[in-house]
Amino acid sequence: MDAVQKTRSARLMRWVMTTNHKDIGTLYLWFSFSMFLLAGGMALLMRIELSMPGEQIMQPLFYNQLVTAHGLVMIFGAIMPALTGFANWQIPLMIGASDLAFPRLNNWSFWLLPFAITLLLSSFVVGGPPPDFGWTFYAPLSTTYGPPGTDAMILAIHLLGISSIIGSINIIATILNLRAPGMTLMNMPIFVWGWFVTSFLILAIMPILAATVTMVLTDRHFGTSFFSAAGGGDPVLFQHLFWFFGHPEVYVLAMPAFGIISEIIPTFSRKALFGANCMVYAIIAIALLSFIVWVHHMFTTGVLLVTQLFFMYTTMIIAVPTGIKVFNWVATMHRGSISFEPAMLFAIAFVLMFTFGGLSGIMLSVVPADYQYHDSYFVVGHFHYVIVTGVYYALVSGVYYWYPKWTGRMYSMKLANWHFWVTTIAANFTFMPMLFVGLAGMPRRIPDFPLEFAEFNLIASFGSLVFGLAQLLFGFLLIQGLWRPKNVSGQVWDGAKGLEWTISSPPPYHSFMDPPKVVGKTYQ
Amino acid sequence: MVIMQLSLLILLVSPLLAWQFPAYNMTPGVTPVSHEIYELHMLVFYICLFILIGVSVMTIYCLVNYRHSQGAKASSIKGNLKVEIIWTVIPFLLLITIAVPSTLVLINIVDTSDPDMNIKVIGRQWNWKYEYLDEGIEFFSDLSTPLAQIKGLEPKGDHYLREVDHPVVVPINKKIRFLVTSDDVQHSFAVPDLGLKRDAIPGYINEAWVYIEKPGTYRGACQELCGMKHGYMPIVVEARSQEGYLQWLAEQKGEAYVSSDPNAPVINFVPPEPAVIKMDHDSIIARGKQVFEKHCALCHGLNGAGGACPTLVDITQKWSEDELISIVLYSIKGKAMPAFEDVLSDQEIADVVYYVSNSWNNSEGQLISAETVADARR
Repeated sequence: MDAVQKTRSARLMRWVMTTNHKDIGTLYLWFSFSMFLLAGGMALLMRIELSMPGEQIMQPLFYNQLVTAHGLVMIFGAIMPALTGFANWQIPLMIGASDLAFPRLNNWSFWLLPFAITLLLSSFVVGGPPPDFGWTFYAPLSTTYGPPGTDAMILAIHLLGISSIIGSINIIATILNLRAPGMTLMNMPIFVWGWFVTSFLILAIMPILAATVTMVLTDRHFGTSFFSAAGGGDPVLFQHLFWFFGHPEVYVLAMPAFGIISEIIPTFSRKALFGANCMVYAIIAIALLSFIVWVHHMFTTGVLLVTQLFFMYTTMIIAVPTGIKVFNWVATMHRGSISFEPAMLFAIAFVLMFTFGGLSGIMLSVVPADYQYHDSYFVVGHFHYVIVTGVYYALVSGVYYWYPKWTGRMYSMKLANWHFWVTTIAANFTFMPMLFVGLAGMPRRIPDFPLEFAEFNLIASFGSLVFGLAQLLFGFLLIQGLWRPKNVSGQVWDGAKGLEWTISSPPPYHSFMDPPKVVGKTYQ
Repeated sequence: MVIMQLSLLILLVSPLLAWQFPAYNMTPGVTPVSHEIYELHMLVFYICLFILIGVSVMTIYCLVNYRHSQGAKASSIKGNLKVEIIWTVIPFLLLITIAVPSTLVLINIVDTSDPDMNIKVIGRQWNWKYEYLDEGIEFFSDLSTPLAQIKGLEPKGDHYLREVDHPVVVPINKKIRFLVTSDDVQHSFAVPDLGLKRDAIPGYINEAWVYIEKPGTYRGACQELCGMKHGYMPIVVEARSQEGYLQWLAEQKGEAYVSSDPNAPVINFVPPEPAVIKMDHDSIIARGKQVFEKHCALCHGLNGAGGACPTLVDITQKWSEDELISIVLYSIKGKAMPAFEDVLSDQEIADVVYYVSNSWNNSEGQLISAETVADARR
C-alpha cells in the first residue's frame, strides 16, 4: 500500500471510527440532509402525480409506496437524525463538556442509521414489493394484507429505535454528569433543556413502537392475532399502541426545535429570553401532556363518548403551554434590538407559521369538527405547517446560526436571504391550498381526485417544486461556504450568549478539556 | 427582495379572501348535525384567526419598532410573572368557549337511539356493500367512472371519481342509522354533506346517524388508506322524498308500488325478462371485457400488460383455467389482489376468465360455463 492510499483510507476510517462528538454531529447532519433530499424527491413525485386529475406518471400502488417511504424516511431518516446532529455538536459545547458521556455508543448510534434506512428502502430494489400502507402502518393492512417488504420495514424500525434509544441515554447521561461546575439544571440553555426532555420522551415511546412492530411481525408470521379480529384480536388496539408512540413522537421532533428557536431569538434581539423559567416549565408540561392526547388521532374509530371528551379537553389544554412559548418568543423581541440575519428570518417565520400550524391543530381538537377534518387534506396541511415551516425552519435557522461556529467560515448571506424568501413563499403556496381542499372534503393519501380540487392541487404542486429547488440552493450555499475564507471570530454574532461562543470558531477538535467555571445563567 | 416581501404579504392575506368562496370552506351540509358542525368550525376558526392576528400584529410591531439598524437599544428585562399568568389564563378561557359547545354537539352526534331505519355499511377492498336491515335488500356499490377517463384517454365527466353504479338511496326527514363495519382492512365511511365520518373496522360495528333535510345526491369517498384502490371507492347517497324512496324500494324488491295517495296512478313493476345469456365466443368476450375493465384493468392494465400487478400476457402458460377461476374467487395469500367471490357472479367470473385466457397471446379454446365456477366455489 503506497502512502497516498494509506492517507486516503486513514481519512475515510477517521469518519467510520470516530468517537468525537463534532465529527459524529457532522455525519448526522449531512446524512439527514441527504435523506431530506431523497424523501423530498419522493414528495415531489407525488405532487407531480397530483398536479392534475387523472393518472399522470405512476400507478396507484407505487403512489402508496411513496406515501409510506416519504413519511418514514422524513421522520426517522431526516428530522430525527438532524436534531441528533444538533445535539451532538451543541450539547457538549453549551454545557462545557469535552464530549458526550459515551463516545463509542455515539458512534454506534450513528452508524446504525445508514444500514437501517438501506434496509427500509431495500424492498424498492430487490423486488419487495415495498410497504404501501402509509407510515402509520395500520393493521390489518400491514399484517394480513402487508407485502413482503413489510418485514424489512419492521427490522429497519427496530434498528432506528435502538439508535434513538442509545442516543437518548447518551444525552441524558451527558447532561446529568458532564455539566461544567456552576451550571445547575435550571441554568442550562433552553436548547439543552429541550433535548433533555425529548430524550426522556424517546426512552418512553421507542420501546412501545418496538413492541408494536414486533406484534405486527408475529401476526404476520407466527400465527398470533394481536390485531386480527378473526382471531380474537383488535385492530383498534394497534392504533392505540401506535399513537401512544406517535403523538409524543411529534413533540420529540418539536421540542429540540423549540430549543433552537429559544437560542436564536434572544441573540438577534440582543435581549435575554423572556421568562426563561416559564419556558422550561412549558416544555415539561407539554412533554407530560403529550402522553395523554393520543386518541385525538382516533376520534372516528368509535371510541366511547367519555373517551372522546377526555382527549378533546387534554388536546385543547396542550395549546396553553405551547401558547406560553409563542408569547414568550414575541415578548423577547419586544423592546429588543432586532437585526435580520438569515437565522433570525427563519426564526421569525417559524414563530408565525408554527403558530399557524398549531392553531389549525386546535381546530382539529374539536371532536365534532374533526369528524369533517379527519383524514382529509386539512390534516396533511396542518402537520406540514407544523413540521416543515415549524421543525424544518428551526433546523435551517439553527444551521445558519451555528454554521460559522462549526466551520469558522461565513456562508453567503445573499444566497441565504434568497433561500429564506423563496422557501417561505413556496412553502405557503404548497401547504395553504392543502388546508382548503381538505376543508372542501378531499381525502388524504389518494393518487387521483375529483375535478373540483384541480386548481388548488396545481398550485400546491407548483409551490412544492419551487420549494424543492430552494432547498437545493440551501445545500449549494452550505457546500460553497466551505471554500470561503476562514475568518470568523469566536463570538460570531454580537448578541450571542453561552459557552459555545467563548471558544474559537471552529472550536478545537477537543474543546473544554478543562471545564469552564459558570456563574449564573449562561444565556443571559 | 421588496417584490418577494410584498408577494409573501399578499399570499398570507389570501386565505382571508379564499374563505369567502364556499367551495373552499367546509360544507354546511344538509343535516342538523352538519349545520352544527359547520357553525362550530366557523366559531373555532374565528377564535384561531383572532389569536393569529394578535400574534402577527404584535410580532410585526416589534419588527418595525425595535430594529438594531435604527439604533434601538435592548431592554434588560428578563421576564414578568404577571403577563405570564395573563397569557396562561386568557387562552384557557378561550378554550372553554370552544369546549362547551363542542361537548353539546358531540353528545347529540353519538345519540343513535330510536332510528327510523337501519342500513349496514360494509367497507371492502374496494367497494361498499349496503344492507337495508329492515327491508332485506343488499347490494354492492362500485366506482362507475370508466377507466379510460382515469387514464386520460377520454374527457373526464362532471362527477369524475365520485360516481357509482348503485347509489345508496334513503328517504329525507327520517333518522337513518348507519352500522359501519369492514370485511377486510380499515376503511372510513365519509360523506361531508351529511357531516358523517365513521371508520369501518373489521370486527367492530360503529354507529352513526343522519337526518337529511333536503333531497339530493351527496357524494363522499373512503377516507382511510385501505390499499391500492383507496382513491377509487366513492360513496353516493341519494336522498329522495318518502314517496320516491318507497317506489325505489319496491323496484328493488320486484314488487308493485302502491302509493299512499289514492289519486296517484298505480305503477305496476314489470320485472325485466331474464336475458338470454349468449354463449358464443364474441358475446362472452364482450361481456368479459366489460367485467375486466371495471374490476381488473386499473391494476393489470387495459391491455393486460401489468404494471403495479403481474402481467396477464402468457398467463395461461402459468395457470390452468381452473386455477385462474380459483384465483379470481379467492385471490392468492399475500398478494394485493382482492377476492371476488362475493363481488362477481358465477357468470361474470366465467366471462372474465374466458376473456383473459383468450386475449394477449393466450389461447384457451374451451368455453367456461357458470356451473364450472359454481363448482369451484368452496
